[in-house]
Amino acid sequence: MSGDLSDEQLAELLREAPLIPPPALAGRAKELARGRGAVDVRRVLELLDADPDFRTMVAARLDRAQPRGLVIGPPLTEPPRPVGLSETEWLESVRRQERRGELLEAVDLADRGLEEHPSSLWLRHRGVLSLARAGATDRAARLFEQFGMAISEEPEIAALGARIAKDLALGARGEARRRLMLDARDRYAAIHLERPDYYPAINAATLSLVAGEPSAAERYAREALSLAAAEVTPSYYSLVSVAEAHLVLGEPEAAVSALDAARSRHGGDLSALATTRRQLRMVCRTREIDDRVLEALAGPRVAHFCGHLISEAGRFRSDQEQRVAAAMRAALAADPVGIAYGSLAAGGDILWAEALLEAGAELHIVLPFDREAFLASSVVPCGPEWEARFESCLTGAATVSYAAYGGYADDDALFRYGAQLAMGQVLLRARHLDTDAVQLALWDGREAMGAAGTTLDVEAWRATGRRSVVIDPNTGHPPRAAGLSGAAGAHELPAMLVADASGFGLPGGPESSPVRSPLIVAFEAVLDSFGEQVVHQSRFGQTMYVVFASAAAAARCAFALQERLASDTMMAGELQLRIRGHLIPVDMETAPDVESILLAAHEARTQLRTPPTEVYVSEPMAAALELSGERRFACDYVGHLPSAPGRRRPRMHRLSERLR
Amino acid sequence: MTEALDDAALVARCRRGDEAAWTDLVDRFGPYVYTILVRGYRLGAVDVEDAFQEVFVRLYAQLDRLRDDSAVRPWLGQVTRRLALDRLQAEAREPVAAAEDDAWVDPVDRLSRIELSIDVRDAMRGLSDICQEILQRFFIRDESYVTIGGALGIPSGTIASRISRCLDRLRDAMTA
Repeated sequence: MSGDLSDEQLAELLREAPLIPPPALAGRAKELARGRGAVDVRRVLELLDADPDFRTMVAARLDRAQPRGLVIGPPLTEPPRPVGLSETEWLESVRRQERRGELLEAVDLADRGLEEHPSSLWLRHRGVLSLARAGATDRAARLFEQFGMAISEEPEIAALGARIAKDLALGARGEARRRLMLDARDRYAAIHLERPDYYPAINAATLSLVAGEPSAAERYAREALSLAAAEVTPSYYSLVSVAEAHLVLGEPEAAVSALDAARSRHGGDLSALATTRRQLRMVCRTREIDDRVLEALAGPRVAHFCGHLISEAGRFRSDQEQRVAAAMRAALAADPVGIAYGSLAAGGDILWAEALLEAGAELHIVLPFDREAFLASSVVPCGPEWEARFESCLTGAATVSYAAYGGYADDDALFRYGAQLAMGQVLLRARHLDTDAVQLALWDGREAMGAAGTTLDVEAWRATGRRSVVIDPNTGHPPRAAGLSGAAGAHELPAMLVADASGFGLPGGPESSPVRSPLIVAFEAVLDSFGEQVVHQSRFGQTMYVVFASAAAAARCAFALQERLASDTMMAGELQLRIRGHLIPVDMETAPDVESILLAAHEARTQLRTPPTEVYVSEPMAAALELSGERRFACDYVGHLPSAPGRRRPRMHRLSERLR
Repeated sequence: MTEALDDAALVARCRRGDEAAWTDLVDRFGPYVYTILVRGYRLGAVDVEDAFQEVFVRLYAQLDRLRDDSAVRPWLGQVTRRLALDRLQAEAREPVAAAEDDAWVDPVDRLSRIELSIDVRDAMRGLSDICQEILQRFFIRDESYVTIGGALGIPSGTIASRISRCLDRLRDAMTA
C-alpha cells in the first residue's frame, strides 16, 4: 500500500512528521535506565524527591503491578469505599473492621463516617475506641476531651474514658504512673457505682493494687467475685475475672481453678487469651505470685522451620528422608507447635511443613520471591515429586507471602532475607500471643557454605537467645558439633523513616517550600546525632524522608525525634507528629530488587494516613526489629494501612518503647 | 544492516543494562509514542506526560520478556494506544475528542496516517544525505527553493526536479 502513495500523499505524510517530545519528558524516560541492574538506593530516592513526574510514573507502575511483594497473607480484595451510609451502617462497617483486627481501617472508616454524620456520638465513640486499641492513646485522649465525651452519662462512653485513662497509666513511669492508675481506678469505680458489674469492679481492683492501695483492691476484688459468681452461665470473661480477683486477693490455687474452667471457653480467640495473660501477669508481679499459675491459658507455641535442600551430593540425601521425617514427627509430638512460619524448598522445609500440617499446626509459608521462580530454583531441580509435595503444602497453608518483590535475580541474599522475615514474623506472632517461640531446623551442624542457608538461619535465630530444635540428617538426632561462628546475627538491612506533622506537609499539600517547619528544624537537629547511621535524607514539602543503615537505628531516631518535640515548649502539644517506617529489603550497594525500593519510597510518600502521635512500621521492619535483638522496642499489629481502593495495603505495627 | 536488526540490537543492548542504548531507544521511539498521544488521541498535556512515561516504564519492565526484539515499534504502538484509550475512558471521554478542524477524520485513519508517516520517516533514513536534506527543508521546514538552493549550493531551478526524484526514491525505499 505504501508503494502506491502519490507524490501529494507522500508530501502530506512528510509534513506530518512525528512530533518531538519535550526534552524534559524524554529525559525522564531516559532516567529509567539508572534503575536497572545495580541500583543506588540514594539515586532512586533523590530522583523521587526531585521530580514529581518521576513519582507519578513510579506510582503508575506500582499501582498496576500485581500485588505480590511485601504483602503478608493472601491478597486482599478491596471492597468499594462506602459513601452515603446511615449512621447505623457506618457503625457496623467500623465494627466489622474491629472484629477483623483491622484497627487502622476502623479509625479511617470512623473518620469518614463522621464527615457525613459529624455530631454522631456513637461514631465518635467507635473512632476514639479504635484509636485507643491501635495504641494511639494520646490522640484518643485528646479527641475524647475535644468531643466533650468526658461529661457523657452513657456507661459505654464512661468505660471508654476509663480504658484510655488505664492505657495512659500503663504507658507512664514513676509517680505519674501511680497518679494515672488511681485516676483510671476512680473512673472504673464510678462506673461500678452507677451500674454494678464485675468488669469495672475487677479493673478498679487491679488498678488499686498496682497503684499501691491493697485494701481498696481487696474490696473491689470481693465485689467482682460476687458479681461474676452470680452469672448463671459463666463466660470466658467472667471466669478470668474471677481468677484475677483471686490473684488480687493472693489466692493462686483458686485462681488456677477458675483459669482451668476458662481455658475451654475462649472460642479460639488467641488475642483475648494473650490480653488476659498480660493483665494477670501484672497482678502476679505485684503480688509476687509465680506466673506459672497462668499456664492454663498458655497460647500455642510459634515456630520457624528450615532445613537443608535435598541433594545426593549435598548435606541431606534422599536415603536419609524416612529417618528424618520420623524424627520430625517425634520432635513435634514431644514439643508441640501450634503455628509455624517458613519457606518451602525441596528437602528440610517441605518435610517440616508436612509434619506440621499432619500435627494440625497453622502453617504460614514465606517464599523469598516469585512462586514460579522459587519453584524453578528450589523445588523442581530436586525431582518432579517435590513439586507435587510443594503444591500440597501450599494448599494446606493458612497464608502464603513473598518476601521480595520480583524474581530470583541470581542473588542468594534474597533467600536469607526471606528466612529472616519469616523468623521476625514468628517473634512478632509469639509476642502478640504472649507465648514461646522456637526454631525447628534440619541441620547437620556444619558451617555455612554460601550467602544463605540453614546454618545462617540457625545462627540468626540463636543470636536472639531463643531455643532451637535441631535434627541432624545423618543421625536423626541433634548434631554433635555446631559449626556456628557465634558472631553473626541477622543481616541488617536499611530502613526508611518518614515523618510529618498535622498542619505541615500533609499529603496533597505543597510539594516544595523554602520554609522549614519547626518539625524539619527539630528533625535535622536529631539526625545530626545519628552520624553515619544516616544513609540518605531528604525533604518533600514539609515531610522528611531518611534512610538509615538499619531498622534499629531508624527506630531509635523515631523516638529521639518524639522526645525532642515533647521537650520543646513551643511545639509540645501543638504538633501532631506522624512517623512511619519501612524496611528496604535490598543491600545498599547492589540492589536486585528495584521495585522494593520504589515501593517503600512510594508508599511512604503517598499513603501517610496513620494516626498522629505514634510511630507505625511496616511488617518487614517490625520483623527486622524483633530479630535484631534490640530489646528496647516492641511492635504490635494494628491492621492494614488504609489506602485508596486497588492500592496495596501493607500490614502495619505500632512501634513502642518498652518501659525501662 | 536493516532497521529491524537495528531495533533488535538496540533492545538487546538495553537488556544488558546499557544506559546509552536506552537513551538511544527513547530518542528513536519517543517521537512515535508522543505523536500517537498528541496527534492520534488529542490527550491533554498532563495525560500525555503521564502516558508517555508509562509507556517507557512498561517497555523497561518488559525488556526481558519481549517476544520479538525487532517488533519493538509495533509493541510500543499497541501499548501507547491502549494507555491512551484507558485515559480517555477513565475520564469518560469519547475516544478521540472531536476537533473542529478534522472532525471528519476517523480515529483509525488518523492512527494509520501516523504509522505511515513514521514509515516515511524511517524510509528517509535510507536515502542519500542530500535527498534527506532537501525533503526535510522543503516539506518539514517549509523552506523556499531559493533558500534551499542557497543553503545547499544548488541552483534553485533544479530543486523541484530533485524533490521529485527524491520522492521517487523514497517511494522505492518504502516498498523495498
